[in-house]
Amino acid sequence: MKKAIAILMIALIAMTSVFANGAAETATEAKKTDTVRVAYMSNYASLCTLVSAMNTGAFEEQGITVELFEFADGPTIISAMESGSIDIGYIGHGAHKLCINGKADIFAFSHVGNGDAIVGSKAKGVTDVASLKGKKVGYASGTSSEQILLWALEGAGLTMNDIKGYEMDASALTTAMISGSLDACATWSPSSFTVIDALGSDAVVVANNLSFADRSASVASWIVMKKWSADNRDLLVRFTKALYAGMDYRADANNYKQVAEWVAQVTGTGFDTAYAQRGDAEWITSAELISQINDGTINKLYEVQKKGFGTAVNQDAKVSDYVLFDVMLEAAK
Amino acid sequence: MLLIIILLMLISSIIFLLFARNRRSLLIFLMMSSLSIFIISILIYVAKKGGIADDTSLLLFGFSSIRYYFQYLPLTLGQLGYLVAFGRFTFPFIIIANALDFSYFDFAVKMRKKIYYFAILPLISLVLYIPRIFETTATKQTFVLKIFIYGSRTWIFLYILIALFIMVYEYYSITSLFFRRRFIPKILILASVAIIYSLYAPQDPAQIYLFYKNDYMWMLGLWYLNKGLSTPFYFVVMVLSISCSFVGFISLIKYMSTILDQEREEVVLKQKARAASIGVSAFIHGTKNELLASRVLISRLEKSGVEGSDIEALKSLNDNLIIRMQRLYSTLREQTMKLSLVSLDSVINKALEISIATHPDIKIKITDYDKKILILASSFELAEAISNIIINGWEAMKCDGKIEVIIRLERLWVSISILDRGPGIPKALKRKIWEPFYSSKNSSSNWGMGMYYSRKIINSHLGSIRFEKRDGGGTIFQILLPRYGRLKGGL
Repeated sequence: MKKAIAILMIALIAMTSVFANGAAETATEAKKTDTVRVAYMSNYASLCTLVSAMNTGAFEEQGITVELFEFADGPTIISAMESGSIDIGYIGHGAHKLCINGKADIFAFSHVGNGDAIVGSKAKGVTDVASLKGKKVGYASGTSSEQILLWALEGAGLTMNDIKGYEMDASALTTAMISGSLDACATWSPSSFTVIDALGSDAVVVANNLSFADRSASVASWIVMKKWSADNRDLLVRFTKALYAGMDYRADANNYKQVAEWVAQVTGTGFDTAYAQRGDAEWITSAELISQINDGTINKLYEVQKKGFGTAVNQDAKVSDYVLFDVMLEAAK
Repeated sequence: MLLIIILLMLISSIIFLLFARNRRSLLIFLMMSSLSIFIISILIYVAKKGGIADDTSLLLFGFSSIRYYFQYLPLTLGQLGYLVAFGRFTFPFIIIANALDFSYFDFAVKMRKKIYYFAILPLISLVLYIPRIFETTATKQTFVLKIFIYGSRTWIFLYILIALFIMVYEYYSITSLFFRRRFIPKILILASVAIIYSLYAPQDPAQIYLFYKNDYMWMLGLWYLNKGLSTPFYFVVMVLSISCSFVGFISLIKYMSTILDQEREEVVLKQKARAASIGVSAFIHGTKNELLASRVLISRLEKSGVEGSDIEALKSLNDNLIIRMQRLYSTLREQTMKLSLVSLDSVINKALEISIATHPDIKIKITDYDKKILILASSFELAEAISNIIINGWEAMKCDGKIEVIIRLERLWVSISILDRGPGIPKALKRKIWEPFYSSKNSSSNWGMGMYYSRKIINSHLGSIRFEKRDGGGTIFQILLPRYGRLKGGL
């Protein structure tokens, strides 16, 4: 027993010294640059701007060190930001509800996505939305993909009661769909692409964002807590400048392969999967963004998005209340 | 890392269950199982939800492939949530059952019979958290959801505190150092699993049912993304958990090997005794016949008029040898003990009588003890067994000094400690002294059966005997016998 305790103590001391050294090194680095903890989701749309800015030295140029934290969804990112463990985050369409309701501010526009899709299996009898009746359909409640599903069913004169719904997370949806446990699923990129790739010719997309472009804009954005932006205004502008550099790099079609490689390094899902997601959105440059801010296009997109959320959000909220256009414009200078 | 620790503890509990096959090992296995279900389902949730740094991921999952495997498990949110609920609501009940099983103070013993009271809240929670019932009752109104969340959180932590309180109270109720030492591993096992559980217990299954919804998040936040649960904090917690688990694991292994050793020793002793008894029985039979023949011859000599001290001495020697042969025979043969309710005082007095008869100059100091203590015993055999130890101690001291006898109650046992100031027992003879026909004394009155006999008799009384080195020189023999009934206001 004494020997065992001695071994344990030695192991603990060794582990403590390893961690202590790590902490000391981080402290030294912190003096040179500002460290920003950034939350992302494991897909091309979320990462393409970030990895471009990181690998082209844009963050370094702005004196920023980025620490990446992977999340499964936007609401969790906002929750983590509220608790103080994350500084800046990327959110997809669904989590914008929380920004409209005052939980966080948008400081940079990312893109309008089309990654949400309802994917079915032809072999299971899924051909269109109407054929979903009585089928086993997986979905993730509270996400934009669920909204697409609800609208799609509504358009076909169906409700959730007409299908056999299975509430799952995105990863489980992918596995269940590929393994044949589900007949169809409402999911988003990159899960939608993974499912389509795996099913091959058996896959059928019965609805996606484009099917409901008139009802909602699937906008993705970069967000921050009000207090953090107030306390770190200069850092936020510098961060946005670096993001712009990343936006410009990702928007160039000649860089798609390089960006996909960088994305694949972070997600660990392989180049092909990352590269397949390059069509998830139209990747605009920073100059185009500034132009669209000035002509009111971006404001309109957020307005459409807000209306699409219906009663789930405060419709009286002004877009300028939660979108920091001033940061975007200042960073462009 | 956390996963590995949990699995190690589960595996050791399974081994313990297979080996011991009793209520205690079953309770430990159930406790480890519910903890494993809870922690693994929480890890599946964390893998799916994300948001942890790489080093934290390493601490929780070890290999990233395990994390990916968990992340892509095709479970519905209802299944995963209820898995968490099951582990979360059964563990506090089982840890209380374990704490009560480890404890012997009056209230604990009473509560052991009423353990089902503690099952009420877990059962209610398990019913309310069935996904469909939860959806129809809790998710419609925020205040109902809050009642579910805060209510369940309150009772589970209350249960954990009760379990720990029982263990601490039991520890301080134990007066014997030996028993206290033996109790420490039990506290460590329970404390370590309670710590691991408590770290993840704030995770309400509601959060899994509402995976992408946000009502709950704004109410409580995500526990594992809390500032306090940063990597350094996780590190401290992990070190604590690993230390506790390691010590608990080692203690469990040690406990198991002790039982194994004892059983092996018992088998070896029985084999040696059996082997010896075959030859010895034939020898006793032959010798006894010869001695009986000698008795007849002595009787004839007396009748023929031979008188004097020599013939008396010869007669006495012959009779003593016959008695000793009979005793040796009864020592080796399998005996059936007839246990009856007797006072410990009467057994001790008998043991003293036998000791004094053997060594009239023997000095024995007995500490005051409760004369009302009752035991189930075969009085004469037990008194003989105790007197053997006393006499051995006295002879070890070269019949000089004083033998001390300390009697006290300890939990469910009566402890009889016999202390001498002899040269002590070398480590090499630790097992040897219990063997039949082993003696370190060169004596014509000693055939090396005393310690073997004492141990055999004490074991027949469902008791045990052990010895340890005495501070300042000498040996302490401790006899533990099951105590009959409980004294009012007992320990």
